Amino acid sequence: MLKKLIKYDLKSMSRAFIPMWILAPVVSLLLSFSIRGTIAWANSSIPGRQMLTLGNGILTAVMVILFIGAGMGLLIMTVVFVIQRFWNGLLKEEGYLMFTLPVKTWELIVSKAVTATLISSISAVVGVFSAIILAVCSTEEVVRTLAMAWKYFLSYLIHVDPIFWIDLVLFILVLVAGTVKSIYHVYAAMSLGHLFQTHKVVGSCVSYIGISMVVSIITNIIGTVVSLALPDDWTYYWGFTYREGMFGMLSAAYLLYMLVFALLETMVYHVITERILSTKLNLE
Amino acid sequence: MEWKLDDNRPIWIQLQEQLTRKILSGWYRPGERLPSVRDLASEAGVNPNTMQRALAGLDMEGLTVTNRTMGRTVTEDQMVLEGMRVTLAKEIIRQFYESAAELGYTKEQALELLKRRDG
Amino acid sequence: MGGILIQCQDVWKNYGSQRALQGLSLQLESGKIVGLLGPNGSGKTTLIKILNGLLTPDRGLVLVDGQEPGVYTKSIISYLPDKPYFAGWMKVTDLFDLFEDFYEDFDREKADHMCRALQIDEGQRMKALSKGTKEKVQLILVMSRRAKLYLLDEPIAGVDPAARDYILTTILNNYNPEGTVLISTHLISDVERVLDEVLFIQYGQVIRQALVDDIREREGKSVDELFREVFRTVPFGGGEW
Repeated sequence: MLKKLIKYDLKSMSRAFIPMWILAPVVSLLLSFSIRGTIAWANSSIPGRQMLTLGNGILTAVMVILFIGAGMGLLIMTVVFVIQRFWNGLLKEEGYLMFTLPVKTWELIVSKAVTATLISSISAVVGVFSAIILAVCSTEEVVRTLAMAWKYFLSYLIHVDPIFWIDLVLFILVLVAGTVKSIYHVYAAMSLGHLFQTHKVVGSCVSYIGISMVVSIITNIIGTVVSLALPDDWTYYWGFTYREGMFGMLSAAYLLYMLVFALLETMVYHVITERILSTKLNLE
Repeated sequence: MEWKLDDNRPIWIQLQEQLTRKILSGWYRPGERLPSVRDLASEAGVNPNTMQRALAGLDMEGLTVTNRTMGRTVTEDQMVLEGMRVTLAKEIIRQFYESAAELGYTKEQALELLKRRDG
Repeated sequence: MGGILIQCQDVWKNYGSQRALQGLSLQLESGKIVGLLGPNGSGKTTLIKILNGLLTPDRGLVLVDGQEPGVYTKSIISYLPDKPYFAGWMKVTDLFDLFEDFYEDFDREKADHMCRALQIDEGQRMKALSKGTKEKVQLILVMSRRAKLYLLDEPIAGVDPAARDYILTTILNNYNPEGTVLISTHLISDVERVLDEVLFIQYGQVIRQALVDDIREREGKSVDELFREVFRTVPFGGGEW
């Protein structure tokens, strides 16, 4: 049943996102060409080049706005969709359909969360990809620089500490877990808001801030306790930090802590959301 | 034939009356199979349970016979049909006398009026 | 007629300070068409939503086919809401796919057939359909299931008399005869012929439960008349009659 739910949620979400995912790299490609054109015109000695450069500059400016717009659009759309698919999809009229399907409440929530995570991850990847396209295609120099960086990176990988891979995997896991956690944070807040008799939206916002405050208090306490409990040079003994490698500063231990904490947070949010929607559902 | 139902009287009784009339008038012939409960109910715009009750009433009167292979058919027993015809006719006559009495006619006077009209 | 299908015992529900159900109790058997009748705000929709799990009661026992509202009860209840609940982007076929995927008792062929009979194009998106067509699609979805319990919330409110006849005939021709149909409405004269039984509900309580033909037999009046009597309110300034 969960699979079927995810299928439907993906269908409803991806419809709106696929055009954005295609648009973003295309816009950045076009933008890179117009930047390249502007530079080329400015460097050329053709008569009237100022006018051409100006024209191209305006075009480039428009493209920059478009690019930023597309990037912002993607970001905002992702956030709005995460909220809207849960709010409208479960807590408003569409909820009549979802909550009368013969499925468990946790399946409804997990389906929404999985879909939202996938959509956010793809959007993030598309965003990074578009930025790379923009950088790579804009000037010849960048291409050369990037090629060199890549070559250096590859040669570096050959004699890298194997722990680098652990760091990398952990880092990606933390990113994903952080995304899931943020999504669930919003879900829990909306579920708490659903408990309000009136002003459910205000209730959700207040809940969101409330949860954030509680979490930050807890993390501060943990941070203080840990830093007091550990000897100043603990990292030295554990041998985690100041290793060579790009994640040297983010030691495996810290990444692990972030991962576990994000997972714990997610679990708490899930339980809150599930309990409220199972025992306090009120679709009036 | 249209179904005419009055919400003030039990629907099943009215359905039974109207089905009886359909059988006696030959709308449904002796031996003919009646439509299913569901079809009849849908035609009359009533609940199948109500139609079922009316049909059970017909079975009780012997006007219809339920048989496993054929479903529900109109009886071929002329005695039963005739008997029902007489019963209904008597009821109409009773009502006629009653209405006439309300107008102040005796039975004999009423009968006289009826005959005169016929001639 | 089967055993008990719905059992409610002392069910309470408030919306904040507003009371919706106040100790409602009732029992319904399977194999019946039942009218849930009451003035606006008497608790009809609340009761239906509690039965299908969209609302959680504050207190009391609710059993459908012997179980509390949950996955099982949802699999045997076919619900027609008081307002359409579709996402606009969905096509009619998407909805049929969804129902086919989730409800084992959904009869796709029947649904397709009804669509053809009504000349509804299954490739249309919901948002492109007129209000009336949307309601028809909803009715097709609900009546194409072979459910044990049909909960129909105001199926004939706000439609013209011809559409009313169409809706009632569709319900009569398609419901599962072993199941029970619960129709909430305040338009009694339009539905009373199809009902076996009526529940009068007021101030969140069942004030009367009777077989329709019993009412006609014993009281010599239609359900509509009885309803008007029971729920008669004295007009303002009228005083005692």
